[in-house]
Amino acid sequence: MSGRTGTAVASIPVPEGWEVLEQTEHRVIVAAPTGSPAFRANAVLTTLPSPAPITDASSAALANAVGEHPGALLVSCDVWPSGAHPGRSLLFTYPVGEESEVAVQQYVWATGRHHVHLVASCATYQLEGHEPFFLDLAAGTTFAEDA
Amino acid sequence: MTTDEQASTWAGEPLEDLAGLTGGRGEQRDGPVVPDAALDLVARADRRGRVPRDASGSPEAQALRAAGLLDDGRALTPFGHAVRDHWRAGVTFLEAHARGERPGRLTAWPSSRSLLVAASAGADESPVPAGHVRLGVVPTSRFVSYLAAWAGVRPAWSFDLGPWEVPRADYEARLSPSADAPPEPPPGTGERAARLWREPWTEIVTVTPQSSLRFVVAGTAGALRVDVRDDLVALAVLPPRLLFLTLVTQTGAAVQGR
Repeated sequence: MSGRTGTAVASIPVPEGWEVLEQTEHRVIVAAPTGSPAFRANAVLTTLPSPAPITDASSAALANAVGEHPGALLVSCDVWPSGAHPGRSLLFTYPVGEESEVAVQQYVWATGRHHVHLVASCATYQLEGHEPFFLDLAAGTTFAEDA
Repeated sequence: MTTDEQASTWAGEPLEDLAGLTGGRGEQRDGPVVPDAALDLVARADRRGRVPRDASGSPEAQALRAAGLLDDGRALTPFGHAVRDHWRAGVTFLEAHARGERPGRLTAWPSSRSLLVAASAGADESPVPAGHVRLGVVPTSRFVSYLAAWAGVRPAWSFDLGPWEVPRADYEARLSPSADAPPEPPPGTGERAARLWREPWTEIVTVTPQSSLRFVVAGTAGALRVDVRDDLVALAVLPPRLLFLTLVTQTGAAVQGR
């Protein structure tokens, strides 16, 4: 890892070689080293105020995956076991252009005051290689209100 | 938002009702639907791509014309040629066989950066009549999602379960289509396993030149890895995420020939 980056509410570790493309109060974008074919793997951390429980946050994320990505395939929704707040781990894919497809590993937490989303994406055929990085990002996510 | 009361009890926290999810079943499937016998006629075309003269007026030939594989005469179209060439080459990228609630088969042949796919009815939402297959060209980079949708992979709560063993005869009986209510699980089956047992079962075997994978999709309740051992069958919960990743690995290995 090469440091951390985050919003006002949550932060993530930056994997070695990854680049911080954007950092604001509400959103952070990190991307894998350039040179990946077809699609540059990346992760987007966003936070928004909401007291709603994790079941609401998760249901909304599932609905958004379908609503925002025509042709999306919902693969899984699991309880994300680590962390101080209840969370979910979602996996879905969606087609891009004529030939490409993106796989999204989305982690969602409900802190009681905020919903925190970590959306990690890569080409589906790269998922095997990138999944360890995505898991590290999720496992390393921390929340400012816990400090 | 509704909750899955049973899963919530087992998890010790409220869980969403994933069985009620609608949408998110992948790309709309398109491509011509042809009878199995019509594909056999394609394979019988001569070196120049002409089907036998005595078959050019047959229902199979009509079906091929309607599907765009045969011209107005008895010559294969470019798409028909592609189908015939793959069919004859006999080199498959992946075959999938399904039996149980939704029997069917899927064959994918390699074709440059895409795969030519012939798929009978699957667990997806685009019906294919019995005795027919849908032909399509699927980019290799999208094939695993196509396969997962066909197999009925979908979100489901997974609880650590297994492996547990059932007699082979019970397993086979469970896969046999029945108009009656689902069979009761074998005596001694735990509550969580029983939830899976009572769902409609489809066993799917995916085979590539490098490997094979056998699993059961239990309706909306999840999936099971299946390991047949003589007179016993070992079953273990296979969370959809892990199932999908396994399919990614299997198809990735097939792409690379490893």
